[in-house]
Amino acid sequence: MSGESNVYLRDRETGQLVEAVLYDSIDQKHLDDHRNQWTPLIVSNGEQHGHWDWRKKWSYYSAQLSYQSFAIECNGQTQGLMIVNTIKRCRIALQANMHLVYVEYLEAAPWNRRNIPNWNGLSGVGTVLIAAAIQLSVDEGNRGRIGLHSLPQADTFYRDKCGMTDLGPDSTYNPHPLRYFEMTEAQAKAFIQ
Amino acid sequence: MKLTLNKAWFEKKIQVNENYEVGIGVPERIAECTSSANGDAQGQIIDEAFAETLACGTLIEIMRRDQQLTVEKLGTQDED
Repeated sequence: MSGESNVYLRDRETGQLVEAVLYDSIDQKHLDDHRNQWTPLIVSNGEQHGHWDWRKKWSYYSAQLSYQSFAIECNGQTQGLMIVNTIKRCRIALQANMHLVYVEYLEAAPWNRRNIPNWNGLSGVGTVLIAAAIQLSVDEGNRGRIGLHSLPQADTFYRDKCGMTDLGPDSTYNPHPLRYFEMTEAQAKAFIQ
Repeated sequence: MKLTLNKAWFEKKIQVNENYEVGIGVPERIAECTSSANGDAQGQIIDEAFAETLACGTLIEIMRRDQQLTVEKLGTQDED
């Protein structure tokens, strides 16, 4: 059974915070929401990760102890999903080879990424999920260290909003070298304060 | 795992009118082209499926040769 944390997201229309729940495991309801609500909107817009199959990802990663998944629910709907790996290691010289929590996949619901008529957009999904990754890193004894490869349009969020160190395009991510970002203990403390 | 942040933290961190894209991960079309040599798990799934297909095809080919069947005869035998 998954654990729950009370969190908040911000309603874009009213500007007010609204209560949400962070689950530290993706379950069947979240996968069903992705298939029934997210996918039709994503496919119709031809988005970059429109073809991500979370059911397939979950069935593969959930069988391995080194991975953990998260989901955010608000207004009865799944608002964001994330899968992390707890056994990868740091690249920044200051903390080279130390363990971190590596974010494998993170995605917000399509109505939270762009305006869609009749869908209530919410802000903060990425912020809450990154806070969860940092907390897991602390719980694992990794002092808040996290790492990730950002999709190009999300670089600004991780560099400017989260304050992570940008290590540039990762040539091992061929054929498309996504930028690698890493968060130090100090950056994690600054983010979570 | 328990996230224990108070409401003031969310009020400060999630600004009104902020609209960031936050996606992380290798787009699947890219992963499908990527070898598992880089440690990518999605690549491993695809590589494993490919390895199974390759092994199955190789086994059938060895059996065909062992029984001295042409591809056409093997196809006919399969229909029988």
